Amino acid sequence: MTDNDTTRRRFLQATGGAATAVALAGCSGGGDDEGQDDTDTLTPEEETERTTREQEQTDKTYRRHNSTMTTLDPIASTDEASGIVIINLFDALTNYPNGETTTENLLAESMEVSDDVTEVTINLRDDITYNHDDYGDVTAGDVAYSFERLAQSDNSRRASFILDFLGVAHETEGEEDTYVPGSLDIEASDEKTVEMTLESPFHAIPEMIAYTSFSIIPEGIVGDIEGYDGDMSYEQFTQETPVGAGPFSLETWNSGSECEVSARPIDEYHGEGPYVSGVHWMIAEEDNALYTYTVLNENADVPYIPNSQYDANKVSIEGKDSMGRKYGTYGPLENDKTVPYYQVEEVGVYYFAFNQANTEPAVRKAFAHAMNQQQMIDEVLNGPGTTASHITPPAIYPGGKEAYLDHEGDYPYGLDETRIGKATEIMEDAGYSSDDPYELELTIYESELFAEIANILRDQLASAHVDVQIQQTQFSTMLSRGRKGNLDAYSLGWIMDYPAPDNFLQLLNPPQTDTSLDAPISYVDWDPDESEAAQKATDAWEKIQSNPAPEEGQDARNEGYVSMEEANWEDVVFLPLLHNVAENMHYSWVEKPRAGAAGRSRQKKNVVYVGERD
Amino acid sequence: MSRWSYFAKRLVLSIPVILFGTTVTFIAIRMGPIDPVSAVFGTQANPDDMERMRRQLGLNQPLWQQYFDFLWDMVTFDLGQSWVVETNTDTIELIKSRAPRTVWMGFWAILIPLFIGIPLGFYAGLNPNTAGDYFASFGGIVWRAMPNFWLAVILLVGLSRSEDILFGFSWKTFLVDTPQVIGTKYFHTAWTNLQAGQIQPMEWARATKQILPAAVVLGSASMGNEMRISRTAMLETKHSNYVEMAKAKGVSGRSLVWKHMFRNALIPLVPVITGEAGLLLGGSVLVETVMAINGIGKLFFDALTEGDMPVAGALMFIFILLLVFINIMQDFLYTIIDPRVGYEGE
Repeated sequence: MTDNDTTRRRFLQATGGAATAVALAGCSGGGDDEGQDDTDTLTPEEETERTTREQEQTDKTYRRHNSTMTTLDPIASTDEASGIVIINLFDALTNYPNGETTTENLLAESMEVSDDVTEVTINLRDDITYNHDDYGDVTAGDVAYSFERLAQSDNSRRASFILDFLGVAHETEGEEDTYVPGSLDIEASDEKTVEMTLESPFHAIPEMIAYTSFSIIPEGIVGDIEGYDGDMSYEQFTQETPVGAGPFSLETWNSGSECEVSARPIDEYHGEGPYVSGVHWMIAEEDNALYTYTVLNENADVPYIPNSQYDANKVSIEGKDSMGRKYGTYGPLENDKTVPYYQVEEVGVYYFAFNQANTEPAVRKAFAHAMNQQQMIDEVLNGPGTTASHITPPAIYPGGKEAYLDHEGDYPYGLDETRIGKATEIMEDAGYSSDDPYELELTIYESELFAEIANILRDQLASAHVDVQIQQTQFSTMLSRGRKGNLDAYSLGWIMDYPAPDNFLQLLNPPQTDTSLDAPISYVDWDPDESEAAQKATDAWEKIQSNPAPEEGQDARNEGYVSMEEANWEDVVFLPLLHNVAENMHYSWVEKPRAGAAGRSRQKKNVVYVGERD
Repeated sequence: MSRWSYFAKRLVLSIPVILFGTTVTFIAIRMGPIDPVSAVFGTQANPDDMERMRRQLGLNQPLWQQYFDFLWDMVTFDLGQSWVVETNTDTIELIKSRAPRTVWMGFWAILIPLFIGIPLGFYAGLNPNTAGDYFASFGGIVWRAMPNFWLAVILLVGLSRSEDILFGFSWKTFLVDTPQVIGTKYFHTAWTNLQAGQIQPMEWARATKQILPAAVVLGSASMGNEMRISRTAMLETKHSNYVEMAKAKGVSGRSLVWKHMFRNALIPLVPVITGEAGLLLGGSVLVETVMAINGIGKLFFDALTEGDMPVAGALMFIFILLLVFINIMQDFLYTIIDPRVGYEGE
């Protein structure tokens, strides 16, 4: 596998508009980690990658590829391909610079939060303008409009971000608690000041509003909410004139073929750069097509290496930077070029999940004992990955990576070990034998990685009296079956919306896993009335929810996070598999800061510099 | 029955076909396990957001009501907006932006076999059991047997690396300069300029060169077919009595072939050629994906697998309409090629 963008894209290819996607692709054959084992001892290099470049724009277009995009409306977009373009056209109040996991102010000059964390005052910068001549400065009214649109518009797919997660105070009506238009408690108190009130304190405000859904657009540009007629039609806004305060403006978007954005003048954009004259994305999804385009014909500035062409031996690691990213080179490619390469541990997790109502505790434990995470990474993934013992990724685990590894010692099922004997014992104790095996249906979506891992587990568990039947289905089919409570066991992944453990652990909040609900958040039917561990998890989640103050509540939240992880271990609800490590590369004439753990797709392209091509 | 009342009857009969086709599409998408809302949100879904979308799209209505709404929208040509593939974009716009690529590819995919396959077949049929015949026939079978996905990848890689493989022959700089071997970039430029009223021969040349590999792959199967069928047809006609008669009367070779044999040999080819019109409509998902063309075929496939009812329904509807139309055209063509065919005799 190559970098995470591309592997996720492979997934998108199969499932279309799916959200921040979650597939890892795998190759068969053992990955030879030569040259990588000794890198943990590498000393961090000096901080060199964030030097400020001379403010000068070249005439070079940065050429990339992308998969099919669904929309350029920030509030309607749920897929990564659209997000990659959207983040370059629109700016939000805050930003993850280079896709790192800490936010910086972007359009906001400062943000003040009252002591009880419910009153938020945002001051905007003075020098922020839109990428379109008809629209001048970004004002506080624009912020109020953009947020109202996110909450109210029929086109919004992320209303929950502002109404539930951030929880801006608002009114609801009717049985279904629909949002009352215009009731959002957000106000432009003057030209550059926005005040909003939260229903209850929320601990990750800057992280949340960095999401592209919170992008700022000019007030009244589209009329899809009450009180606005719209300066242009919705179609024109989303397809031809998406006006935002980002570093680029849209040149063309030709459905399913290509998308091109052109840079704003370098002295006009409020941030760094843009150093290139534009960015061009060729839209293609098939491995051979992308390989031909990016490598054989070098039509792009970033090579795409499909699984079939990937060779772990071509990676040579030279060092580790201050953020723990291993870097070096990959090559030579088929076009004889050796390219700069680096690895980023991303904030995500891949796991198997078990419906608690449909499966017996014994079989879940047997599964956990049989699972050897390291074996799966070495034999199936054929690339870097981090063994997972928790659902919360190390980067955001309470206390950081050290605490994560420390707590890992308590993992009850033998991490990185294949314990068939133990699994057999448990199954025999539960009354199963080779003549009377336990039958379990494991549903996986179209992912090579999960397919191969499932096969390995099936073979191993056969001797532990578990008869695993593997069902491979369309991604959306699997989800809708899951929601109806029809799955025994399934494979999935989660990538952060915002970098905090509750974004991950909400999946394990027992009341929300009830599949008799209209839309459960995960499909495991973990019932606090049936299981002590579920009760423990429910209590822990309540503790997290009742301590939302960013700093004072941190300790209590951390305790809650850890006890949820432990409760999960107890019942084996989610069986953690791995945390993904993205492999990124680009041709040597591209210079840009390395992307962070929030993912390359969150890095704005204004920081990219393209030099003379070979 | 006159020709016209025959066609009128065909038109009326096409109504149940259309109804049936749209119904099957609806059943396959809405009653199967595919869920458009899941496809939109993927795993990072919030239950409230999903509910909101369901309400907005009317997916919480009873199924029969959704069905009648859908049917009524189709009949009144209100094709709606895409749910998943390109959220909130008019279906018509989406199809309009994707269709030209597929039609451009399909045009060449039909033209190539027409002008290579049929002449070769006729040649082979006129000179049976000669070295030329064997060569053409054997070639036809091999050509027919090569699977699309394989041929596509071979062409893709082969043409991209032609300097290494073909003794220095560079496909990319051959005739016109096309640094991009795949995709539809040049066609898009040419097409946009044409719509603006400019005809740019160089761009069209590039566009043609870029689409040729895809067209050859797509047309390869039908090229073999047409070759085989035209050979047989020609052989049969050649040995028929009226040709013997004409020969005996001393009709010259050239006029024998072109005046007497050619038209008759074409008859069995008509349904084969019109059958290929499917290529124009659906293209081929496979070739479109591998060659990065992303036209109608890919769109239809995505819409079906992601449960995008308006797009899938609209495409299905248009496909059925066109197929019915092409079938009627086919009947019409028969009457032109062979005047003996009529509709009066019932």
